Amino acid sequence: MVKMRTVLSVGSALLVLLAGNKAMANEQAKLAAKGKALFVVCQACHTTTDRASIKIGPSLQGIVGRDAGSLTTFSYSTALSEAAFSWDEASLDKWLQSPATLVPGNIMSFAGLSDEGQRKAIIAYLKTL
Amino acid sequence: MKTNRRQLMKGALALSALSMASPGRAKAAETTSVTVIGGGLSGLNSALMLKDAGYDVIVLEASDRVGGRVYTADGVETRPEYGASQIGKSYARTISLCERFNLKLIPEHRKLMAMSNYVNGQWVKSTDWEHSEVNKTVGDERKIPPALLSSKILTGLNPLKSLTDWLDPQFSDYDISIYDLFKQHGVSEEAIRLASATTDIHTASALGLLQEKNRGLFDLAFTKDVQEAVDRPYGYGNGKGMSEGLALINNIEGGCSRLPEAMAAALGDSVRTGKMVRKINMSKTGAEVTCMDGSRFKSDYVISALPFSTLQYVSVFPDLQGKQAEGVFKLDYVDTSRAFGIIEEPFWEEDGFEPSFFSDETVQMFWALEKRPDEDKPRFMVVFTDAAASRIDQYSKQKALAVMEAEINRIRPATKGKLRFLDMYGWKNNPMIQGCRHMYSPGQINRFAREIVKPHYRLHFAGEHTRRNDFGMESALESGERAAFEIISLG
Repeated sequence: MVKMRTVLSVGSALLVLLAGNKAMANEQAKLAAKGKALFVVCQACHTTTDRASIKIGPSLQGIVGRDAGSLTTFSYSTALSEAAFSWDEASLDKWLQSPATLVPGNIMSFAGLSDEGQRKAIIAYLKTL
Repeated sequence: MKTNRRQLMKGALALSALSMASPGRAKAAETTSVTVIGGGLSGLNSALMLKDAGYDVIVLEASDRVGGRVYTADGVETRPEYGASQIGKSYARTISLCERFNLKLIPEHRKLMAMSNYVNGQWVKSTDWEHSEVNKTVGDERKIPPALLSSKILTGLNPLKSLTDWLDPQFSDYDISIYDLFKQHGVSEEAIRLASATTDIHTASALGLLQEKNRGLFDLAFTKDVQEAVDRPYGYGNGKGMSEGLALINNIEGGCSRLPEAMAAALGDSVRTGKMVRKINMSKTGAEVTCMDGSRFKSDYVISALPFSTLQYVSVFPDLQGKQAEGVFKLDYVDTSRAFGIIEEPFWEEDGFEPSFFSDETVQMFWALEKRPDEDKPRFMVVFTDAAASRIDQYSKQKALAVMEAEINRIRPATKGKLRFLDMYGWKNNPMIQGCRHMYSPGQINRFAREIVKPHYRLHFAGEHTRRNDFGMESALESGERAAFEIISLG
């Protein structure tokens, strides 16, 4: 009985945990889907694949975790190629809020998104690329 | 039962026939999620982005042609562009759309031959201008060709760095007339007089023009491989020494109209021409747009991609308020008018002056353009901007061309019989646009530039006059993108 109870409680704890994970994953997927819709504001300059394009910004495939200004196939502004940080949630959030504040002298023509929810959604989408 | 149903159907048909025939009955409204008013680049871009995102859209264009101020004169021998033609290297949206629709970008080949000056009734070659007695400007101004005075002096006074600086209140002191700015900085009377030949020095906000200068410089910042940009009295010149990729300034092969046409084709029967809007009614649950022909379009949201010069003729309920209303009713539009033709013989060999010229008389600028590889004769353009354009556009096209030719012949007799005029186009005379572009008057950027882009109930605003960062064709696309984004982010 004792054993059984333990097994059950461990089991239900696991279930709760799994359900929690699933809920979180669902939340992330929903956020990423919203971010994909909002990505229209990025797509004129950026592809999300490695296909050759004449778009004027670098591809965003694998952007999360990449060092800033590090694609060898893209000609960055001096400001961005000299930047010494990598793209994570925190730096992307600052960048999307105001690229000119995070990296003065960069040449991305984007005024920035003041809405935190929109930034979070776009970052959630970028993680899927 | 069968008979009954058939009879019912017949009855229904008869009823609908009756309703069509009965006078005064409103036509049934079409329903979509978004109605876009205006089929220029900005409206088409809004519609295309919304359609891509799964929205059901309709585009209402008053004229019988899409493209607005993008207008290739396909019927004219040299196929000039009446409107927008220059695509900068950093025009991301324009470039991306050209790629999507397989339109080829080609380096602009509009090489301006050297420009002499006819000032105060005397001819001076460009190389002699700096030290000529005819040149009454002062100090460093003397080195600047008269056609470039306005542009060069403004560039020298430009405090803006980032593309959005023009909206930053710290630069609000620059929202004054060019005349006042030049006076503040000790520009000479003669330089101001010559600058006024190309620019509305009293009625244009210096800050508005500085935004454009800044956007032009941004293209250069984007272009590491350009060693030297060529100054132009109108638009931008292509750089020298480009190694790869796009040129600094590009055109679309086959004409710029191919872009809006491709966008409209992708939108299919969502684009309706000949639909002039007269009323936008909004409620808590939706919007209804009514056209002059009585047709009605219901939707959740409306995007106005009309220039304010014509949006002000549309009834909007609830009424526009405050600074936004001020913007819609008071924003000015300025003119550009150009004539196009062919130089039959090199008249400059006869009089020894350079082929192109600037004058402080009726004809503002005459541009002789080097032959393109596929041409056997050089082209010319007679270019009028701002007040000079509004002046010549008071005439009918026929009369304007006659006045122009007579004036060119009078001040430069060697041109007699050597110019063949093909066509002209003045944007002030397009009743559905009424100018080639918006122009803030002094003080208007501080008054309402920040407010005019904000949505009004279910009405969102696009069009080059609502740009934030960009210029030219790119600014139209930028504004359309912003309006679409506003609606998409509502969920």
